[in-house]
Amino acid sequence: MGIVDAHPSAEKTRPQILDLVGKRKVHFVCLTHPHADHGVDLIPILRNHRAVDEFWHTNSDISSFVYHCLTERPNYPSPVREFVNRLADGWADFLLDLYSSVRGLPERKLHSNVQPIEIAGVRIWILGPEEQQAKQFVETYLKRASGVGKLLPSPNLLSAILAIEYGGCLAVLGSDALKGGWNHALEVHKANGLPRAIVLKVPHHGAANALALEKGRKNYLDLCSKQRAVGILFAGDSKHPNKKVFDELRGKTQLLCLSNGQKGAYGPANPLNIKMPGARSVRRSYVCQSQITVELNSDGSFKVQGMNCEECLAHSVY
Amino acid sequence: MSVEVLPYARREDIFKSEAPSPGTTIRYTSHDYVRGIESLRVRPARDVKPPRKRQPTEKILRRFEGFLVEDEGEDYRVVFIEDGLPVEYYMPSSPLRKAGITASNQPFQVDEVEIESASGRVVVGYSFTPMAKPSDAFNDAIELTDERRRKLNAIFERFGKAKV
Repeated sequence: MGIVDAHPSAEKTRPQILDLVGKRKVHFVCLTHPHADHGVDLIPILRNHRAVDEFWHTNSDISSFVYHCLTERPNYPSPVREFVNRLADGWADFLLDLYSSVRGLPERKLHSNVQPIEIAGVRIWILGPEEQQAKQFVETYLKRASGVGKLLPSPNLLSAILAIEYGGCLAVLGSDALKGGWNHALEVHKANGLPRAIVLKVPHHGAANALALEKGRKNYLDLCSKQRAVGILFAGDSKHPNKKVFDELRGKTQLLCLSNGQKGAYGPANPLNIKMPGARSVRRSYVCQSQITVELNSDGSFKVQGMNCEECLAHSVY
Repeated sequence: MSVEVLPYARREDIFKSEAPSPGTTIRYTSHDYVRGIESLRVRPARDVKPPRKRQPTEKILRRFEGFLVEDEGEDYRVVFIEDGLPVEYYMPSSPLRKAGITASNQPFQVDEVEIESASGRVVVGYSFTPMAKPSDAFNDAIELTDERRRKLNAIFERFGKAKV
C-alpha cells in the first residue's frame, strides 16, 4: 500500500492510522506539501511502522527549509507578538516531528519530470509540480524568510499532483494544488496521452484559488471524464469549499464528500460577526462520512463506495 | 394660463445683489385647483435658508488586534485576538493590502466603525491600521530546546546540512 497525506480523525470516526495500516507493507509514504492538515498522521507511520520503503515529497531543500522556519521568524513590537510566536512554534514543531521521523528511509523528490513509478501493476504519474517551479518556491521562501517584512508564499504551491493508473482507469489526487499548478498538470496529462480521470480528489478542499472558473480557461475538471467522474471533497472549513466551486463540482461530477459542502463548520462561520463580505473564520467542517472507498479493477471497471452529496445533503442535520 | 418669468441671470450675478429680488409674479387665468387664487408670488431659492447640513459622524463600535499569517490569493489568512484567544480568519486581502498590511506576522488593528452620513444613513465599515511597518520587523528566534535540537540534527543527518 501507499499512503498519500494523512491527518487524524478529529471525531475519531475511523481507526487510528497504525491500526488502519496494520502490518501491511507500505511502499511509500507521500507528503504532498508541508502543511499540518496533510501530514500530522504520517508521523506515527514514519516513526513506528516497520515496513516502509520510501518517503516521497516535493521539497528540494528540506534542511534549509526547516532551519529557516526555526531561526528566521519575523516578528514585530506589538501586543500580538506572543501569539505570532505560538503559531510559529506549532508550525516549526510539526516540521521537526515529521522530517526527523523519516530517519534512514530513502527519499523520492516528486516533480513532473519524474518517470511514472510502477508498483504491483499500478502506475503512478506525477503531474506536478514542475521541477523548476518547486525549486523556485523553496528559493523564494528562503530568500523572503531571511529578509524582514516580506510575505511568505504559501506551501500549497509545492503540492504534488499524483495520477494513479490501473486497468485503464485514472484517479487524480489533487492535493492543495492551486490554479497555476493545474495548467502544467493538464499539459503533462495530455503529453503522456493519459486517460481522463474517473476519480478526482478535489484540490484544496474546493477553494476558489484552485479552480479557474473564468470563461475559456482550462481547469482541473478538464482532466476528468465528462460522463462518469466522481469528485471526492475532503473536509474543509467555513470558507472551503467555495460556493461557486461546489456548484461547479456538483454539476460536472458525481460528488462525494467527507464534509458537508453546503454548511457545517463546527461553531459559527463568523464568530466575531465581522460584517464584511468574504470574512470567514477558519473552522473545520463537519465530517459527515468517515470513509470513501474507490476500487479500480484490472478490467477497467471501478467502484466507489460512499454517500454522494445529494444523499448526504438530504440526510443532513442542517 | 400665462406665466411671466424673469429673464435668465447667471448664478453669480444673482448672488452679487444683496437686496432681495422683487420676485416673479405668476398669474393664473384658469386652473381648477387654484380657483380663487389670482396670483402667486415666487422668490428665487436664495432667499430661503437651506436646511442645516449634518456633518457625517463616525463612531468606533469595536476594535480588534491581529496579525497577517499567509497570502491565499484573494484572501489573507489572519489571526484576531479575542478575549486573549487567537481566532483564525480569512479576510479579503484588498483592504489590508491597501492599508499597508503586507508582511507575514505584521500586526494590525481593525476598527469596526459606524458611519452616519449627512443624509442620516447608517453604515458599518472597517478601518485597518498597521501596528508596525514591514521594515520594523526583527527576528524572533525559536527557543531551541534539547528536543528540538535533537530533531534538527536528525534532519541534517538525513537530508544534509542547511544552507545558512
